[in-house]
Amino acid sequence: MSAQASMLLDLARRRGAARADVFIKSGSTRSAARDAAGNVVWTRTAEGGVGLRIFNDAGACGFASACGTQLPAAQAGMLVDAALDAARGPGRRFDLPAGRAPDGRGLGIFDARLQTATPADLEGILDQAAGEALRTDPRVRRIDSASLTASASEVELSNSRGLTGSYRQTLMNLTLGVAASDGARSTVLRRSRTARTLASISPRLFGDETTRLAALVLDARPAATHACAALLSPSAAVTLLRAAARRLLDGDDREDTRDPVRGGPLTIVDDGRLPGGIATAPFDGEGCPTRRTPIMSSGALTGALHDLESAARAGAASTGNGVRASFREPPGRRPTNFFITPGSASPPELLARLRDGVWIQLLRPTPALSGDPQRFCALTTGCAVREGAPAEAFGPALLTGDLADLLAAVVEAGNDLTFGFPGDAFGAPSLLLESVRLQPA
Amino acid sequence: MAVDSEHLRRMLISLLPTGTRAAELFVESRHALGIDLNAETGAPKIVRRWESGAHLRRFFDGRHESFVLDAPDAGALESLIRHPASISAPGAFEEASGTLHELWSPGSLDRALEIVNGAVAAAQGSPASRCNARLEAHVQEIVVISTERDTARDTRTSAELSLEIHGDRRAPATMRRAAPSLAGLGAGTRDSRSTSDLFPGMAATATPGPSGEMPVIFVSPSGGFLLHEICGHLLEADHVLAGDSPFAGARGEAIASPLLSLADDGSLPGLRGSARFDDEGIPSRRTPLIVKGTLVGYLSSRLTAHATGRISTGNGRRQTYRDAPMPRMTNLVVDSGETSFEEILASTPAGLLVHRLGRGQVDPATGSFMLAVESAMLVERGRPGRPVRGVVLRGVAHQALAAIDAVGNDVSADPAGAMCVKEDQAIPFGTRQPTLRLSSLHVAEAGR
Repeated sequence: MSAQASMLLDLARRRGAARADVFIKSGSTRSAARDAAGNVVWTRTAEGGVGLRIFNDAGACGFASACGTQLPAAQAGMLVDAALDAARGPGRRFDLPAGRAPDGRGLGIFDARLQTATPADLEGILDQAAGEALRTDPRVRRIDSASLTASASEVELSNSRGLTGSYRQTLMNLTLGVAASDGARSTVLRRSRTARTLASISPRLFGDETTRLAALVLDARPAATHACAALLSPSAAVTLLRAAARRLLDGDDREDTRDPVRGGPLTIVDDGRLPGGIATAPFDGEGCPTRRTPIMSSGALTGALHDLESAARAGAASTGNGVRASFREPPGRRPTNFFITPGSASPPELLARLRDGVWIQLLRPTPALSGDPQRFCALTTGCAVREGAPAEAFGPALLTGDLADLLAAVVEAGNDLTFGFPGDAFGAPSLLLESVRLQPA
Repeated sequence: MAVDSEHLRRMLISLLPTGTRAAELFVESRHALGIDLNAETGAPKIVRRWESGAHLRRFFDGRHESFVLDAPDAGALESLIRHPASISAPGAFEEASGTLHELWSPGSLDRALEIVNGAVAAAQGSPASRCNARLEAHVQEIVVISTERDTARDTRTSAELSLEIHGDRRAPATMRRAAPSLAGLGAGTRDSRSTSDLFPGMAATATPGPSGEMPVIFVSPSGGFLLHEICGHLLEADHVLAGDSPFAGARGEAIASPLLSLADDGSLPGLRGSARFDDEGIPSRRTPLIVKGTLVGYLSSRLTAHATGRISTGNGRRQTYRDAPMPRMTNLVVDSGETSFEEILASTPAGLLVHRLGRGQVDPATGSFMLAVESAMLVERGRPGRPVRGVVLRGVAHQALAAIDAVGNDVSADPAGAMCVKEDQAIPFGTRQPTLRLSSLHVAEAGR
């Protein structure tokens, strides 16, 4: 246990805390970025801080955080007092874990090459992605924006029951925006991909895919209102999964509100130990070991995610889902690597099975339009499929439908499970749906 | 915040590397208090955050460098200026500068809880199935030290209360209040209006909205959010420079109804986007954007101003020291017209009367926008009709701007303002404007 954690826990105990835990994260980030005018921006960040969670005798919890990992005694005292004072209202008693938390070895979450990458290394990767994007289609006239961020950090968790644990991790994010024009129409398309290691992302492939999607948007023409079968690309499938996640995970003590999802072959799991997963860690933000939790099996709900508090409420055990977004936030029940498990068919095989319909490759949710949390509403771009082959591009079109109905319409999942989309650690393979409804946007 | 700005500025100037055009050091300390209360459980989640950090930027021709450091003490700030590329760990936290703000005191928390509990009590007995209240308050102290101008210091305070009511199978309705301090939110006071008054869309009499093209009246100041989406973002100089805005290269051209004159003004007291300086140390000011329908200006930051050979309009804003500033709107203000609200309403045979807008989005490249309507009524024979729920507005920016056919003389400010998100940075903005009527806008049923 670090001296900082030990001091905070000792202070908390002496000032009346019944239980406490200390989360310390420190690390550095390097990034290279290029804007539309070709200006290069290099950024280097040294970051870190402490999050202190305290429980009083009644089980009420308070939280306080501060930047810096070497708080002097006076500041540490202020932090303890602030967290103690914030422990108000009714609480629920539960035990914090004890002992030695597992480490991160074998999980594929640390890449020494990322930790030592120089700005020139990062610019070189950006150049590969940008160069390929410009080569793929002459209608891509310029790179609108490009950035690559590499971060390395160390996490330490300790609590008043003597638990200690630590691990180190790396993360990289590649973002590319391309500007395409055919004279009459123009578009700017931005994509981003996140991974744990340099080897997980091919910059050339990423540049090529980005340009192909920009070309699709450029070629797209409005679609008439119609219903048809559809193949969703992994990124489109993740958008659907993300919309459904809140309903799927709003579980345990609110069983009545969970969508009854019937039929379909969907199997959905949460796996905090997925090798190389963006949200993979040996233990969660409360020190509980992470694990694989089935959420849905063949279309039927089978499990729920728990942190310590929700587990106590439900009379269950934590599933290692007390996730911390940073040292600035207390742990909360959230998914880790949350994904639809892959099937066996390749995307070309799924296209052949689709035969006639649409291949949806871009899906942008429009929450402003949904008006109803159980309805899905998104702008989509893709291409028609005739006799199993891609045909003319369409879009933007509006895809709307009841979330439960859309999930139930899935008939097959592909073998191309993909992660790394912006915002979370959700993943999905291509999905074949028997029917969707499209209308002009 | 104990920062020896003159000493640091001298260092910044004397240690400028060869080829550096300018350098800037942004130092921030922020105390924050957050309360989340779920009315069902009654257990508040209380979070206190104490953030401190510095962001050094050095500008070269065609390149600039950023260095960000958490928790810098005096020595770490000097090291950041001397050897920025060597920073590898957060600072040691300056004990002398660690002045605990009153917002972290037990008394402040008592007052904040009183406000949150009062808001939840006001929502009791509503047709809602769930109710959540959230309070966020912060005190932000900033110092901007630049090689090019005098040091800027500012203290910004903010408190915001939001109440979210979930109905059966409907999007939640929200109510927000904001003020510069907890006291300004009205500790100990309860809103005496009924939930149906606060959330007309939740009223038992509310019916699904109409659909199709129709006149839409935005009661003062509700239309500010519409203009923020379709003007504010599209007139930000980074979008314009990248060619991402339909208004790129349109300076001097008529882009809106001649009834519309619109400006950005961060110097107005009391609005959510007001500050003495922007986050690059440029004094806040009024920037005319549209005068009688003609585009006269864009919103710029230091970098975009340099790229266009102009001076910054004081719109370089950032969420925290960790972020890079971008051109962002502060407060959107619309000049008064000459028509009363009553005259505008009476001259509208049928249409939609919008009291409050919800979430929205705009495609910068095309100007296409969608906006959710949180509170609205039908207009029937020039009078307010029944409340409606579940409608959205769709359109294209330049068509909507041209469709403004009435501007009221009832200018008012929205004290709550709203939060605006751009490239993952959320910052507040304010609005002050009269009632507006658009002769035609597409109204659609949400989710269909």
